[in-house]
Amino acid sequence: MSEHLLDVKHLQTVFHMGDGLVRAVDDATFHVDEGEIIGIVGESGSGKSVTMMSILKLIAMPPGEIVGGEAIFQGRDILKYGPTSEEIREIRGGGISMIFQEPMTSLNPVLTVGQQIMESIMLHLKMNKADARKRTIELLGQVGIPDAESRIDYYPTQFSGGMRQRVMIAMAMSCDPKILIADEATTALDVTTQEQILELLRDIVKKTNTALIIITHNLSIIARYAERIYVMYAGNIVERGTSEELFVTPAHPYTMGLLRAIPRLDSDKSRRLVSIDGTPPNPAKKTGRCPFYERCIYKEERCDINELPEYIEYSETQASACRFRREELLAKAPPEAKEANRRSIGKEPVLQLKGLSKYYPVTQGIARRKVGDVKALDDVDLTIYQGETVGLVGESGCGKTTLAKTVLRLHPATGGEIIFRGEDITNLPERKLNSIRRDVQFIFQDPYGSLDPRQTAGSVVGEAIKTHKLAKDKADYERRIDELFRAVGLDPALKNRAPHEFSGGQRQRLCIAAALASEPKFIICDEPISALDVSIQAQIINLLIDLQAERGLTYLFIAHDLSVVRHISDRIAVMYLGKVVEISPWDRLYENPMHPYTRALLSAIPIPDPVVEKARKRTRIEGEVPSLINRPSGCVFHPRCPYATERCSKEVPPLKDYNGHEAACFRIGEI
Amino acid sequence: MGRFLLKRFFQTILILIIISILAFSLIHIIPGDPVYAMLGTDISPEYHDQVYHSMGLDLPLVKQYFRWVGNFVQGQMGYSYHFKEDVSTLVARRLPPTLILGILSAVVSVILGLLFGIITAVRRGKPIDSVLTVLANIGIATPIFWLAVLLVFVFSLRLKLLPSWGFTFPWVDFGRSMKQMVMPVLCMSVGGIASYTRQTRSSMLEVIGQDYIRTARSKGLKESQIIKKHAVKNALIPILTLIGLTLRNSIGGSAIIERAFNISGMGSVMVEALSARDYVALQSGIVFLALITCVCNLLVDIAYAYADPRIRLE
Repeated sequence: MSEHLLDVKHLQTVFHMGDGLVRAVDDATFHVDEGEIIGIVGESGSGKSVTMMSILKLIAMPPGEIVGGEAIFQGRDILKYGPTSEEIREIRGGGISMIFQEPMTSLNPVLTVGQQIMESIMLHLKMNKADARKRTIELLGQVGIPDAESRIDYYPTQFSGGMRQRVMIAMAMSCDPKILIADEATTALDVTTQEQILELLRDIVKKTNTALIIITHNLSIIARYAERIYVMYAGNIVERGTSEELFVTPAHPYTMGLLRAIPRLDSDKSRRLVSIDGTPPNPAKKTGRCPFYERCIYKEERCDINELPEYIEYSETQASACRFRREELLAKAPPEAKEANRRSIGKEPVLQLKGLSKYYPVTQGIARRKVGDVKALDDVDLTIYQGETVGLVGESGCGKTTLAKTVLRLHPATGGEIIFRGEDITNLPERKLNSIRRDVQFIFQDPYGSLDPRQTAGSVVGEAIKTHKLAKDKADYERRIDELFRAVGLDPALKNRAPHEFSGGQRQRLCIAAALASEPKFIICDEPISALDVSIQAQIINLLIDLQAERGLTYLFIAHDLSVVRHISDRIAVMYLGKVVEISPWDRLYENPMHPYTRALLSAIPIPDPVVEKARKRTRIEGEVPSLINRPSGCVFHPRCPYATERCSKEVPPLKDYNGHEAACFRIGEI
Repeated sequence: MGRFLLKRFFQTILILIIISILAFSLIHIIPGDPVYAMLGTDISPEYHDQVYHSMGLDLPLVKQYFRWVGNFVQGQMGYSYHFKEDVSTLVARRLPPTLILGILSAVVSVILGLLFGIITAVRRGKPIDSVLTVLANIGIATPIFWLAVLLVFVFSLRLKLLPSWGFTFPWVDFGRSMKQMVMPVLCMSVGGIASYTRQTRSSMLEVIGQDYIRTARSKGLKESQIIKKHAVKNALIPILTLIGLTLRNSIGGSAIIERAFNISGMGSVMVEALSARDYVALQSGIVFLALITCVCNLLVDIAYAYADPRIRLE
């Protein structure tokens, strides 16, 4: 008998793929006790989801196969049960339930949320329909869905992402499970919503004494919520420990590397991020060697043997799968955080936006009669100087991407002016835009979707050289492409490969190379790292910073991640529902956020350090970003603002200058 | 929902108006004089003028159109010189067999196609999947006229089980009607069954891979419940569009079957009217086909909105 609620030992899962065996999980050993919150952190492909799905037999079998290990839940080894057996089905939902990443696709679109929750209750708790319905309404109320009695008959499409995730929580909690697994449950959500959902999860599991397993790639979330942590890398748990232990005295080189690689809200930004070089090993070509060997900066000859390292135990809770003790690692020269490249910011504005607006008409009926406007951008003023990086932050739907596209003239502005290097380009005819297009380039969020799959890497990068006729001849063209490849840290020998042969980080490097090809002055980066793994993000940020210093580039850096924006930006603009609500030099924004929305955004972001995290004072806001169609009157933030007054709902606060720190709020002096 | 249907209803009316204009213009688009084209050139000029006048061809175009539409709505579709009877009685006599065969074969192909599609998807990779998938491919490739001849040869000539021709309404003689309809319905539905099987299979496979099926599994539901309650309804949504086309296709394409089994239905009327240049019958036939198509599409849209709350709630 095991004394833990769930005790997983040496779980091993493989997938039989056409071209061989993919060892998704090599050796996963972990446990969770009643009422405990544990975190499993790892990059994509590290096997964290597969581990959980294996326990519930939810992986597709075939091609998947659980080849070893045991999972003792309430005294029984549940790995022994068949994937469709009575026993495992009883545990799924009844004993262990899961919340998945994508709230948009994880609920069945053709059934009401009530039907979906009720079927679970009727199945496991053997209730009749009326009782199940009553319980469902109660549950929906508990997870914070207003007006649950009528909302129970709504379809998933009628809920926002955050609300759907609440429905998922209600569904998962509906049959009083012993363990709740949240598999990247908040990754797809906005930061303020993410915070609300995680707080809700914590409250619920603490109230019901349910164990919670948080699976995520986000170290900061883990630091704020988990009591114990397992770090997974390439199918192995490389380190385990309490969150204090892992964040204060990490013992595995990978954990150490991750902590150095992520920008933090409280980190020193004059130094470069120390990235973990390389990429995780291909699980189809894995050897028995230490999985981190290729990327480890501490490796020695004795690590290069075909055997996994034994765990070294540091305390009852902490252990690390590395051949070196923590002290030995620290005694080796730690990677120096290099001084960040210095650069100067000019006085000359590169881009000026004056009262820029972009409205989309709302039409109704067959005749498409215009009944109103969606104000995606409303009267935005912004100036970006030569050599500067301006960060633009805000949650989804606040108009960041619309701003970028309008500046690029990908769609026409409704009002205002776009002045690029002294020239008004707002209404410049298409044929004259060519030179502007050469000077202004764009890096998109998704390096998978933004590269033409039918071109070679070289021709993707070289397209702009051809378009703008920058090369003298064929040899010059090839030379320029090689140069661009080297500039972004790619081997020019790879230029004849297709984009799909590159990894995510390499693809983003290709996108950057393509953007640099026309020798631009100004680059708009729209969430350039949010689709990448944590250990790769630092590589790309460093690359962008280096290129800026070398080439005197000016960046408009759009992101929802305030820690990344803080690291890279000189000034930061915060947007909410199409309006800039605050704009200031980076240090002042973080030291003294003026606008209540900025404060809430900042406090929603956890700092990956449980000690600092516990001491923080936080401003929390309720609700979600409203739809632009139902734009609030007055100050757009007033319905969610804890400080709102009568006046805020009637008048629009203007952006006021407080010694170079501008904010749009009536109550700045008082709050 | 109400607004959606209202919109679709008005669109249907609009489409019918456009088609009626096209059908009406048919008579004026063809080169030469329509009366000579219909009746041949060896009629007397007096007779020509009489027919010309009786068809209203001497009126202004707009007036002609409205007269034609007005008459059509009242059930007077003119006199067919080729069939030697009023078009309205012609249609009343010849449309029902075609409709019955068409609806029956549509029902058969939908039911069997969905069933086979679901089976092949759920038993993916198993022998039954391979067998049904191969059969479906053969079904799609089989020419109807060849199948008809083959069936007649085997079941009528050799085994003498089924009559090789004719059509009887089920309410006249049920047994005989069924025997006569087996082969035509089978021929008309083979292609439908085959394509529904393939479409349903791929649609089901796509749905089974969706996140919400994983969610349903993680709740501990039985696999059969997951398929019935969670997968099928979602998988049907893209299939619904096809169903609208089936009835129209089987009615529009019934000419071959009617000829093969010697059934006097609407399909043969259209073919005969076309070769005899009987524009009066042709015009009405086109409008009827359009009407059936539009009604089918409208029904599909209603079913669509019913099945998919994302459309219903728009």
